[in-house]
Amino acid sequence: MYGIIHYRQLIYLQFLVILPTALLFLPSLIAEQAKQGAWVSVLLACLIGLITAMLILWLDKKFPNKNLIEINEILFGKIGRVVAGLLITWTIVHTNSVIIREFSEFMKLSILPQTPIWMFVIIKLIIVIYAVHSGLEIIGRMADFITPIILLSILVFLLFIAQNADGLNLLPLFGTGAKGILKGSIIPSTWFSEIFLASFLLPHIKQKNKKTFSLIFSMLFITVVLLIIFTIVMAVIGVELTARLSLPIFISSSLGTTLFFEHLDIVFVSVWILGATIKIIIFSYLGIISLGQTFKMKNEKHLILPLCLLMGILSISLFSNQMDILHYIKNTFPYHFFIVSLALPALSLSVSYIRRTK
Amino acid sequence: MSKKNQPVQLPYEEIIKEDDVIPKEIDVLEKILRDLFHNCSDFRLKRFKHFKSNTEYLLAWMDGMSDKTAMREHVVEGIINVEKDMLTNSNLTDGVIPIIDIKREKNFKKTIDELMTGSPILILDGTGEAIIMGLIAIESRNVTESTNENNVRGPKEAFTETLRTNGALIRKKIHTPNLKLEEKIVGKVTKTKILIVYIDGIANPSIIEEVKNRINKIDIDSVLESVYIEEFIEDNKFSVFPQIEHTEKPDKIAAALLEGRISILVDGSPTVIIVPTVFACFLQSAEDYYERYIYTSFVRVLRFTYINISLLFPSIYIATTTFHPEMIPTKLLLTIEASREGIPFPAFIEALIMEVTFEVLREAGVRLPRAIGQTISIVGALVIGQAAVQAGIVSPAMVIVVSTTAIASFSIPAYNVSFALRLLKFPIMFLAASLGFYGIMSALLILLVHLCRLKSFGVPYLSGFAPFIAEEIKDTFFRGPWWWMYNRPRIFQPKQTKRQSVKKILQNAYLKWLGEE
Repeated sequence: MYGIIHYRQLIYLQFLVILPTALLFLPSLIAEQAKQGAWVSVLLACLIGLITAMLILWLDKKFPNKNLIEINEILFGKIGRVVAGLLITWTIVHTNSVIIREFSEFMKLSILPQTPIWMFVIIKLIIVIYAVHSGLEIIGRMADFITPIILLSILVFLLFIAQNADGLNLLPLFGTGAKGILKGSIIPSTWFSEIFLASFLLPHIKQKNKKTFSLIFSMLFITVVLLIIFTIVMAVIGVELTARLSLPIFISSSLGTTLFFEHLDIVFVSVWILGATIKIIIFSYLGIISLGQTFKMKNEKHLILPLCLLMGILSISLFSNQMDILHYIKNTFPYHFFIVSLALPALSLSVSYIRRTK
Repeated sequence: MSKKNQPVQLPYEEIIKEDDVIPKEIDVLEKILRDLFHNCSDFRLKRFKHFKSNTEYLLAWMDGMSDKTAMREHVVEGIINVEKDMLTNSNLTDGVIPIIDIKREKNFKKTIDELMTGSPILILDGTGEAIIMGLIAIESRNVTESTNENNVRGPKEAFTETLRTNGALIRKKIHTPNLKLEEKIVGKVTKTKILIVYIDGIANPSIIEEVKNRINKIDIDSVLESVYIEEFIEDNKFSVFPQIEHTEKPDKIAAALLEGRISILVDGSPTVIIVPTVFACFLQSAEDYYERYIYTSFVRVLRFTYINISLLFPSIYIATTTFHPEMIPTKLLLTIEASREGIPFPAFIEALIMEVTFEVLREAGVRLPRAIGQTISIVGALVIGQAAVQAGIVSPAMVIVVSTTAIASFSIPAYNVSFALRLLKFPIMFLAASLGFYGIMSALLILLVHLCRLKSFGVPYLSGFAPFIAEEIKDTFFRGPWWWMYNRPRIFQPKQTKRQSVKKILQNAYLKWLGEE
């Protein structure tokens, strides 16, 4: 289940954990609140992400090669391990169910409107089970293979749509002002704070001295990529439309292609599938690992089938439609996620300082 | 040991045990040999008498495998002239018999094994020791031009069925005592010799050890081709992808050895296998390195396109026409739809018919004698290509798709990879027909997980791409010029990596441009 990954693969994994779904949902969710000031919101969110990364790195420095659950065992004993473990597992499993459902809904909406949701879920779970069973090293290699493809197609995508960009759409630079910007930064912060998952990956990195670099670099890299994409998409379709459409990037990808082929949106969806699948694989992997760590299981592979089944069932039964998911993401998800991604590391860190544990 | 796990035993092993020595009495020996070779019409045994000392001796050989002229001239005539007291085994091997390849052996079983490879044996009465003479003369094919791997520029000779010749063909290219050819015998009945070839000091010792271990574990009665070994030693035995490269060209083997890889030669097979192998190896042909690098780099890039076409083109056609026709430009879409007018089948069935027909045609064309083979191509082109379209069974567009796929699959240098891709094409087509692009992407993802899982002797199968090694781009995506290849590929974890000292050619070129040289 474990294995050793290169620090480049860690950067790629972080990239693939945050970017795919961020591309899909964030533009409209941010633009709705912050209007043209969306870029400030992204920067603020990046700040939250950096804080999370610093917390994780700090913890890693204090407890080398220990993940969040093991750290909690050192601090609070067995009960701490079980409580923190279950909390993290539940958050990851629940979030992953939401992602699988988001993914399936998007597939249904964009390319296969008549296919039932469970079809997407089942196929996705088959891939996930195969990949998770192969272990971290293989997932790292997959990220190695897929990330360049994704970056290249983002570049092509931007070149295609940039011809329709209108710079005036980006004015006024700060949109509706500080309140909107702050409100708009809450949801993207959730995405950026997903970097706390690196706590489970850092112990397996080959180049121990590159930990800080890889986390900070991946954070900044994701921010830059997101900023460029958001700006161009907003310049192309305007802020009002970005806010109103639920999937603005997908819509804009079908706009500006004037070459031989038309409607290249399906090609971009195909590439997006690659990234999103890796995201789901990593979340499932980490969910299984953290549950195994919670109960100190010797062989986590026993958990693959039941947990994947649970995630499949949850993803089908949690929500009834796309609007339901959006409502959850807007109103509940950030606060739910921050408990684990920000509050838990911060608590562990402060307790370790109060108790002076080494 | 349970009965299932017992090694293969034949009557011969029961008569002559592992440690038996040759009986001293020549009469006893003759009887044993006659019994042993009962019904072997090619077995020859002759008793001679040395009249000067009144000693009898026995000569045994396999007819058709031993050089009879040399036996008469050097052995029999040589012994006639020996003085009375001089007829001892040590004298005979030390120079009386003018043969270089000559040795003494006491073990009965080893003697018989040597006899079976074609060496005549000579046994003096009362000594209990055999003299084995390497006078093997087996008819075999000459070294000829390679038929399956053609190239315009570069060496053309190919391996033959004889192990020693094949070893010599490699040695001919790498003149160093560091080139090791370790001999092993595999196959309980066939007792096939195999050679493990590597360059000491370049190949990774742990991989060499692993190869030997895996070969030692093989317990089979026969090894008739190198694929027997291949299927035993490959890492994932259930994968559709070949994990071991094979070739019939000594120059390719030499290049592989110099990259720190290990090759295995099997007696009786002109096909030599190379380990460890990564996916990128199958995209490199020997001629890539004999043509100028700029053109070859272009070809390399083309090959990546071919691979994708041969795996995905029918599926993409099916997915676009059935699920996403809006992707195709309107004019082209109209043409395709017009050509599909009146075709009774959905695109998937249509593609399936044509692909299966093509596979059958290909198989028939390969196996048939050349004279009949021409008929097949005519039948294939006219009847299936043209008539099927005219009869309205398949659309012309589908014929184009299938033939493009076929051409693409043939342009991959290693045909065993194109087999794998062609097999995988069918499930992907099915997924494309049922789930469109989502099906194709799901299939590709499963394929990616599988490929990332594969390893060949500890080397990840997708090395160079995943894990990505920036230094190796010059020999995976492109073919870098020879003066740029400072190091052996790190993929194969060679013990010694340096190929040439860094000469700073680009820097020198810049200095020249500045006129400061």
